[in-house]
Amino acid sequence: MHETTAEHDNETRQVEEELSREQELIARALEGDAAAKTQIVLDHQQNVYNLGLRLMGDEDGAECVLQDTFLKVFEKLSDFRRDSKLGTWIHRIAANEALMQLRKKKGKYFIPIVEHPLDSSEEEPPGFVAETLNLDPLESALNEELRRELEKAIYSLPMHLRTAFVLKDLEGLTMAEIAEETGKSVSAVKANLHRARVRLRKRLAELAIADDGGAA
Amino acid sequence: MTDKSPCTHTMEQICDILEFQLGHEVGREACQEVMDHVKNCPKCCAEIDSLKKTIRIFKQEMPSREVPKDVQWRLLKELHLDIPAHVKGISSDA
Repeated sequence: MHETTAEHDNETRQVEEELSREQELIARALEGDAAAKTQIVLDHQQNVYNLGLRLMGDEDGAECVLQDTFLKVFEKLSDFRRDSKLGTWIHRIAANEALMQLRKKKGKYFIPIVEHPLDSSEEEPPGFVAETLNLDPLESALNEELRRELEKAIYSLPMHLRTAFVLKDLEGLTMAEIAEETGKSVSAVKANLHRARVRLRKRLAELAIADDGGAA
Repeated sequence: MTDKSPCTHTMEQICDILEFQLGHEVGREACQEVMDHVKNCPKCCAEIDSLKKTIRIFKQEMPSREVPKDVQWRLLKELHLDIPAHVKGISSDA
């Protein structure tokens, strides 16, 4: 019991220290301290880069998102209201930048779902069994090859489905936030998200079959 | 954050998707019927369970990549910031 309380106190102290360090970095960066700005970049670049990779689907796109995000971060840092963590604010800017680049890339961003009626071939029977691949998400670790396959599966999704899945299921934005960012209704985002999940489930099932040597 | 259970969320999402597909609002009664069905239908439960597993697998296993050194170098240069020692030595052509 005492240990739990001590652990809790320790965690609280760590969070406070982290927040205090963050506030100090922000204050110094606002005064033009280059070292503080560099530290902010180093602290957050990996999350931004991975978000860029997942949404854009390639390294060049991810690098553009990374650069544009941090240019904007330092341009707007004085607007940061500090009612959320700096990482959350930067993440939001990164998502916005990635979506803008996707729009530029494709001219048109979200394709209305009604133009793409649900392909019956996407509908896997619910008998899909992740365990075939020993993919117990809570216990097992996937090998690198399978991780790459998962990555490829996400990149192969059409942009509007990938965006919904990455932002909601991987990055944790709310439906309302995604709808706002993409300019679509919450219902449309949910429908796209569902289609993305179904497609990814199908891909997982295919991987399970391949891993099983095609055995039934 | 919300105090709604995951099940309630799932049900609401099903109704939202239905509304979107049908192009009109699904009334509370119809929605409740769907919820009642899903709760008691093994196939629907399996469907929801398999989607939840899919999400968990991707969320847990998607690799987090390090930012390549040359990418860091170009980023810091673009921002006119100091290049830390561990990034130095990388040329912009890298």
